[in-house]
Amino acid sequence: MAIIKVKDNNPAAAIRELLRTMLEKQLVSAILVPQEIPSKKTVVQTLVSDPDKLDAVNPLAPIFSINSARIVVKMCIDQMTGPVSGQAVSEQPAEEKEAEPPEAEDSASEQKQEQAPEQEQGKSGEQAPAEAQSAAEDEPAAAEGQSAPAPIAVVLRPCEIRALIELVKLQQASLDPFLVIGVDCWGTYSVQDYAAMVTQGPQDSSVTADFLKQVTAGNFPEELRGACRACQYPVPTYADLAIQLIGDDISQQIRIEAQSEKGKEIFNALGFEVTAESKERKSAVEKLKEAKKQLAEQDKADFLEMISSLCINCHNCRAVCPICYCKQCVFDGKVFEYPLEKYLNWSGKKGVLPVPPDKLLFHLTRMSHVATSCVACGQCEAACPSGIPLGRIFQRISTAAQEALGYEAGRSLDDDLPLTTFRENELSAVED
Amino acid sequence: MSEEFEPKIIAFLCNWCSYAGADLAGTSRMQYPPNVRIIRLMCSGGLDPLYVFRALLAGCDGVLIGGCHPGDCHYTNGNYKARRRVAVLKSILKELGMGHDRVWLRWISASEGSRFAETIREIVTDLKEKGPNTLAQSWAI
Ligand code: SF4
Ligand code: SF4
Ligand code: FES
Repeated sequence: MAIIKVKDNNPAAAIRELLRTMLEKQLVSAILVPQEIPSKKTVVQTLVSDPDKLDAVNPLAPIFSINSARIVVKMCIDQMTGPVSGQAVSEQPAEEKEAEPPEAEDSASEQKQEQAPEQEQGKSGEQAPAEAQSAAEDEPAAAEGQSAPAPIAVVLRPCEIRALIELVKLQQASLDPFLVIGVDCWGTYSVQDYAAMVTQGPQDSSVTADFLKQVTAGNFPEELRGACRACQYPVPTYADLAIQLIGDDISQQIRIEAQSEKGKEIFNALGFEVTAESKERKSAVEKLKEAKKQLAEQDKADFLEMISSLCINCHNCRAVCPICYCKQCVFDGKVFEYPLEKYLNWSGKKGVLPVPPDKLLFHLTRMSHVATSCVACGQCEAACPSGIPLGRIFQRISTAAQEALGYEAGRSLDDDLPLTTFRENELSAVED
Repeated sequence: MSEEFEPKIIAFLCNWCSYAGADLAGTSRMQYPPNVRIIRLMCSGGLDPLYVFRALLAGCDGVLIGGCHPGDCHYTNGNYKARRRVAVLKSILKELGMGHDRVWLRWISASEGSRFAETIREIVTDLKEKGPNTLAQSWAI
């Protein structure tokens, strides 16, 4: 833990300088971080590798246009081609042998040789489990000795980190190439509200500064997104480095904490003077969570009716969901293409058939797929052209599902995905 | 309603235990109400919740999921995993007010023909009390 001084009442600038130092010292090879566009009406995610191109960086802008876990997934697609977990490593060669007994051994050893150079990076796909382990053990030493490539820093909100953790467990992403920098979060506006505030606000005023002033005083703007009003995860707990704002006077200082071994290395290399945690932090975080509980929308609208009447089946909610993990959605396949006769048949049965069919079924199925990993970031709601309060719906459902299975999405890489595991004595209430 | 309501039940039964149990009920000529249509799965662990939602939305009044007793699943632990999936499924149905109490998960072994017959009797009685699944009757849903 260390203190970072804030100048000119501008904590975003202090974070920017920290990132600049990391790039200059080549502790990271690039940084994924949001920047304000010149008109300031929005921010875009950017991958910055030139320390001179960080001027518009603002990770504190209260706007949430995409859950960046999705971007991280895209960025590491080529890292995911080989088996990722220890289990998969040991399984694949066995499968090959089964399929083609005589050649399999040859091709397997050939591949081993081809892959040999990559082994130094700890990315080899085909090595035997024992080798994999020893390679993994060698890794830290190798990183110190020869120069392993510096990680790519990704600056993320708590809900983005939590989504990323779920995606790693779902084998959609790898943390290996990245250094996760988490930032405390009081909440965000929708893209539209943010842009409107920038346009309507007085010149020279900063939406970010206004926002920080309000929330640090315990006032939460009306326009806060629904998901953020209910958010119970304002601080990163599973990052490599965490930038802490809550509990400090952020016009004066913020703090940085290493939350992993990887983070510690960078932290040490930055040469910070080590300090203790802010004494106020714990209670400030609790207070914030409590305040959010009061802000959360409680009404139990008729979600069923809303979904079935308002949804236009555009599937935008699925497209932006960081968790929805299938390469090909069952709802895009032939299963849900029906012959005309079937439409007539259904219509005939009820006398009236709302079309397109399967709108509710789509949502129910999506819920059953993502409920255990949903981090309630609310991007589904932001993407819905029909204004269905999906964030609230999914938050309720995922909380219920995760409570039922004693799981908390995004908490840690160590808990098994709840649908891949079980206990012998549990859930007796489900059997009846 | 003048005619007595006859609930429609879909039963997803695993091939190795529950389906065999249903079969035994049949071959032993046990009496049970004819309200159930059986769909055979290899294992209760192979049940996609999508099928259950589809059944409920299409107007079926109750769904039974049958698998081997704990420890007896022929794929080692499919039934334990099914139980977790059903827990998720039920919490969704419950939160949305869609009749989570119209879904049953039962372990029925190949030798338990009478347990199968008893289960169907119980479900039919229960559903007659609950009345039809109104969800599918509203055209808007
Ligand atoms: S859901 Fe929570 S972590 Fe995500 S943007 Fe809103 S307040 Fe921040
Ligand atoms: S984004 Fe909205 S309208 Fe589109 S499929 Fe999802 S719920 Fe339906
Ligand atoms: S085979 Fe019967 S539950 Fe798995």
